[in-house]
Amino acid sequence: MIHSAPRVAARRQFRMHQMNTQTPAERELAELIVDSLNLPDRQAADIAPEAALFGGELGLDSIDALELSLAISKRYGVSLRSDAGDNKRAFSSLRALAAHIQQQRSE
Amino acid sequence: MRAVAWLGVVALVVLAHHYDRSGVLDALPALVAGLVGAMFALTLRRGRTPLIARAIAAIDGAELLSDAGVARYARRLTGIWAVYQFALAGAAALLALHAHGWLALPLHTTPAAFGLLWLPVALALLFIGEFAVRPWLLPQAPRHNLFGFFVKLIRCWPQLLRDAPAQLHWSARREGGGRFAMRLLIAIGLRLGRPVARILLYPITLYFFFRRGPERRASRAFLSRAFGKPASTAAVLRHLHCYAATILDRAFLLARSTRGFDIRIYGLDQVETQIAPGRGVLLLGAHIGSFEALRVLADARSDLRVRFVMDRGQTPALTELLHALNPAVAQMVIDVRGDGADIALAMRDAAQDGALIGVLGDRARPGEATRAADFLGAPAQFPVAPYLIASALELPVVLSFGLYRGGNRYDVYFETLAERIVIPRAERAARLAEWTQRYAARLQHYTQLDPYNWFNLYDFWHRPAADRVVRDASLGGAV
Repeated sequence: MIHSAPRVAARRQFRMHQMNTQTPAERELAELIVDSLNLPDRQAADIAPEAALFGGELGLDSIDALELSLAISKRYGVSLRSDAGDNKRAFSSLRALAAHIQQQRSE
Repeated sequence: MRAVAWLGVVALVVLAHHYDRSGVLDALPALVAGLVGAMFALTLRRGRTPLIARAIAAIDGAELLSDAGVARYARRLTGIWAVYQFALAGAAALLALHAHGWLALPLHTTPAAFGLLWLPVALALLFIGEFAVRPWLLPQAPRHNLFGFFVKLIRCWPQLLRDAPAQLHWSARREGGGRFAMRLLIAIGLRLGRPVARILLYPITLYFFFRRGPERRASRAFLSRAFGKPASTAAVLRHLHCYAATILDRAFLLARSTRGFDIRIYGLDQVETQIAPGRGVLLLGAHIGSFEALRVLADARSDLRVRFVMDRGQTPALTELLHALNPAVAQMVIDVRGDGADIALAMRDAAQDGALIGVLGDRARPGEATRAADFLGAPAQFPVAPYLIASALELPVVLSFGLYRGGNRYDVYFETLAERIVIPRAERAARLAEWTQRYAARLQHYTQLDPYNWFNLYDFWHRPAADRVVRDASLGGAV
């Protein structure tokens, strides 16, 4: 099947939109991040779901990871384990973190 | 050692001269000049530091050599000295042949006179001549007076014979032979007892003194600063001995706990009042004396859990040996080589267990965030992570230092630094400056109680600039 050019563009646009739009759960987590880390001049809505949380534009560090883990366990009752080894992945982006929390809660 | 060897050589030459009939000794001036020339020439090989460059590094500091003009001058002058010595050696050789009638030259001097008079005069001429014209040839070189320069050169002479290694971060220095000897000593000590091992500490101290130049110099520099006057060689030896003794005792403290030691505890109540279920306490120590002496706590209160945040990678062989002695202790270690977030989360878990968490607050790892604080009269960099973690986990911070006081005695001090550290993000910079300074002030106090307990045997005040990273609060390593 041959796609017409406008349809391809529309689909790409839709995918871009999906990548840049927070789900409700991600939005809630983004608000928790901004509140608990007390990030100045940063809106929860501005955190791109797939952008790097640490070292990247947001520039969080290991102390932030600690504070965030405390806030997450308070809010969601989920403890990010220190020995799990998948923290790097869990903390890689807003989307990954939200998915990780979701998965832990359902276990 | 070296002095004895030189005396031996001189005695040998005098004896040989007395009994020498064959004239072999006439070859000595040529031999000496040739050897010294070769010594200069060999340092010009690829990958070596030219001898004059080593002298500049020793006298004026290695930074000067980063100036391309200075480095070029050092290399050329080393070449000139080599050629000059070879020329003198050639002249001396000709003279020796002449003296034995193998060559007929219009000369009126003997090899002995050449060696004792003309050779030193020729060397002095080049030395003084170069010194006199240096300000024109190399205006950027620091000025010295001739005599002072000569004395400094003689003092640093042994250092010039070794190829000066580039300044490495302390954590990049490998475990040396001295530490291998320590491991051997520990093995002996555990079998034959502490008194036997302590006798062996003396030769090990000497070995360390002669073989570990950077540590020896760091010790001398530190003691001079701590005492406010130049430290003697005896003080440096005592310092290194104290260092070796505490490493040996770590083995005994781990294998046999505090049995056989006279450990006096000051301020135990300061820790006890901070202990609360499910909260934990941060015990903030330093690389002074023996943190292992804090094991006394475990003896005093067997219900307490203790975790140590430490770098297993720094002295892997030694650490492995010590941990083999007490596997339970190995379980207590949170290794800082891990991922930053993992370390922080492991400390969170320990705190939620109500554990005492031991952290050393004086050394920063490469890449770890630090703040400058005044320490013994000059600013030094201190890691900031302990205060941020204490703030995040709402931990009380108790300073803990175990000082070695000779024999089998340790004095362990506990002192509350803060019942609660609060560091709001907006005030991070100011609060961290304040807490590192408070820590540095107390560390200075305990260091001055007994400077021989200072075991940061590298230049604590001047780290290579690369590890002063600006990122705000990283525990080192990317998250």
